[in-house]
Amino acid sequence: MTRKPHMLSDLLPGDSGIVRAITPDELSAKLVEMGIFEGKELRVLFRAPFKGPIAVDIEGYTLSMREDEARLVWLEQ
Amino acid sequence: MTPASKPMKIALIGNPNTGKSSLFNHLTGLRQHIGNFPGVTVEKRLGHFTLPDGRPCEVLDMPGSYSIFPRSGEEKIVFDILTDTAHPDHPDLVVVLADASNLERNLLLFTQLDDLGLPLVLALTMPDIAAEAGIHTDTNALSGIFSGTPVLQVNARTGEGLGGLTAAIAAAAPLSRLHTRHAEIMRDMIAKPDLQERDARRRYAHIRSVLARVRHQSVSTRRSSSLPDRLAVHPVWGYVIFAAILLVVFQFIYNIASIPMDWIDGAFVQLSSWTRAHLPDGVFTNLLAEGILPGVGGVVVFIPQIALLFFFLALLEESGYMARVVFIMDKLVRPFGLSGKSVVPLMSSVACAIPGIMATRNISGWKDRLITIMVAPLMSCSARIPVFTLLIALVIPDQIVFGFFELQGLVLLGLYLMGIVSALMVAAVLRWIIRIEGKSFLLMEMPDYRWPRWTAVCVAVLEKVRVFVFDAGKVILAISIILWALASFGPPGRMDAAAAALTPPKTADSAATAAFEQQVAAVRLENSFIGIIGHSIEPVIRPLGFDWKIGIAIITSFAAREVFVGAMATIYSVGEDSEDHRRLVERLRDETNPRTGEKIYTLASGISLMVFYVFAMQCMATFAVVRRETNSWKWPWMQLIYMGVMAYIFSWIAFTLLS
Repeated sequence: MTRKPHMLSDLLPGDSGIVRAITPDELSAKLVEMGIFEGKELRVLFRAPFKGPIAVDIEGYTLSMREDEARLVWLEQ
Repeated sequence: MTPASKPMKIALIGNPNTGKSSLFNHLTGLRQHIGNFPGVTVEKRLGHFTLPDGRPCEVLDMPGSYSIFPRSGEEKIVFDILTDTAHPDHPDLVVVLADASNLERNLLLFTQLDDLGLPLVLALTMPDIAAEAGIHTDTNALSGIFSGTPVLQVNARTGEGLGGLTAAIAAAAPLSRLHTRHAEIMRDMIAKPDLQERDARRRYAHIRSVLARVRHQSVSTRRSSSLPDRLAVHPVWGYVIFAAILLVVFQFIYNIASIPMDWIDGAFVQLSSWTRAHLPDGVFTNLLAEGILPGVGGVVVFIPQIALLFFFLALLEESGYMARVVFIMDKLVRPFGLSGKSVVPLMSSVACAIPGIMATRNISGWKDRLITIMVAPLMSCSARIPVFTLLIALVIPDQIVFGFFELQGLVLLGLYLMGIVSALMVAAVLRWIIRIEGKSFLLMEMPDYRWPRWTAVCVAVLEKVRVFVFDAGKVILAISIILWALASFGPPGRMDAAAAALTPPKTADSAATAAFEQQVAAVRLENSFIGIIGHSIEPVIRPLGFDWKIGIAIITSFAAREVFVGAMATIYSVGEDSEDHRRLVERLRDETNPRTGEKIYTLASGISLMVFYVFAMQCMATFAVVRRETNSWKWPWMQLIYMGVMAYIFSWIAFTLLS
């Protein structure tokens, strides 16, 4: 267990973390609306081949997002 | 209509995957109509049903949304309908659907609508899935917190709880009391995503405190990746499975759709000849037999392909597999400016661009969708096969190369690859050229695997067929009548004079009569407006190795590519013969240029013509469908022009290099 914040895009399948911050961006409002906001526990379920999109469990449902979208989400493990 | 019999207007709204379409189908049965909202390409689904007290009800299925704030100019239609009481589609009552197993996120939209002061009914869907997850929600307490808004459970899949919902709709006071001040504040926020973000966080804090009071959860909802998913996204098996599914789908489309398509073709040919035989000679009979009937036939003939393809696409969508395809393909097509969601529409276009273009509805960004629509007709569709087979038989020697490759097969493969590669390249270029605001994003929900609901599959198929026949059909019919008129009429007296100049056979021998009739048809076509246009464009197409006869065939086959073969048969007066068109091929081999004595159909001109058909749009149905799907005339014309220019340039290059 580290206290250092990680980007969601750096997580491996099976890793989880608590959302600490979201980098302001065109898409950040969309991320919040889809249920990714501070305090939510996220878990990476699987990744697409060739560093493609990742599938993330958000307390009971699954979202898929591109790597550059996942890079906006900062987690604490 | 008196005010008393005016139907009550209801809007269904909710997050994607909450069972909104299922509920819509349950409520309306097949009493639904699909169109476009004026000016935008957002689909408008409208249906009718009767309330328990006998009042008629009109229900509008709003596009699935996570928030009232639109992410694109197109999506703003939802906001406008809900916040403008003068809007013709403004509802008397809004039914908000919320997934009971995922209330936190689903209630965000509900609280936004609640703040607007719209009369609401909250329907908690998927109660079975929530129960499985050990989630219990106290609907009465929830209703109490939201100042008496009716809250009830509905299973949109089975229809359980539907009676309660219609009763709640009937009991609701259909009085719009829109808080205009709130609507104004929200309108100002549309252009300020930072404010939306803060607003959403504030709402979630509120929702969490509400749910803490009304929801009890006994089991953890944490999930892990399942075996089917590990296979579906595996770097090897994922693509193998996708390829295998595509193979099965194409087998069905090529082998099964062709059967009803041949019937339809045959039936319309018979209908045309029956009309000619039984109605008095004249312009009207000709219009009916050669313009209208083939035009209608040209629409109907697409139905089997569209229906079959959408049957499979709906299955993939319904089962949840489609989201996995998008997931594994996204990275591969990103370098070309496409999204993972473009892959299935483009693959479908290998069968036929029409259903492919219609399938782009699922692509979230307008720019991604437009680019996919623009390049879809470059994928080599099944209508090109007859053209390619004829020309390959004509100019490519039947021989084995590199030990065991059939040269003719390799050329066909090369033509297909040329289509795919150019589609990707053009997409990459369009990404730079087309200026549409809005970043491309993938962020989407990945639904769990589930059994397809057959009603949903059937409704999807019927919808697509209906949209094609009634929306695109009009344009197709109009173009086909124009082409008929150009081929049937010429400058006054010219066609008759040319036909009269031919000497009829002395004998009553049937073969001689048939040959004569074919000659008459050929000279009539040559002297029609199309023939004259074909002649006049000869200087333009000569650099490609084409003569005026090919010019006529190209213009005629704007109706559909495969018409090229029939047009060539008419021009060279050989008549339609067997499947392999042997007589036509032999006749074309002998064709020489009257001035130079050189053969017309050489390797250079043949390849040039094939390349022309790889690129040129040559399909009025595609034109009509692009017009329908982009809701504008601009894009189909742009497509026609850019594909025509590409066809010209690449044919010229091919002809110049080979001759």
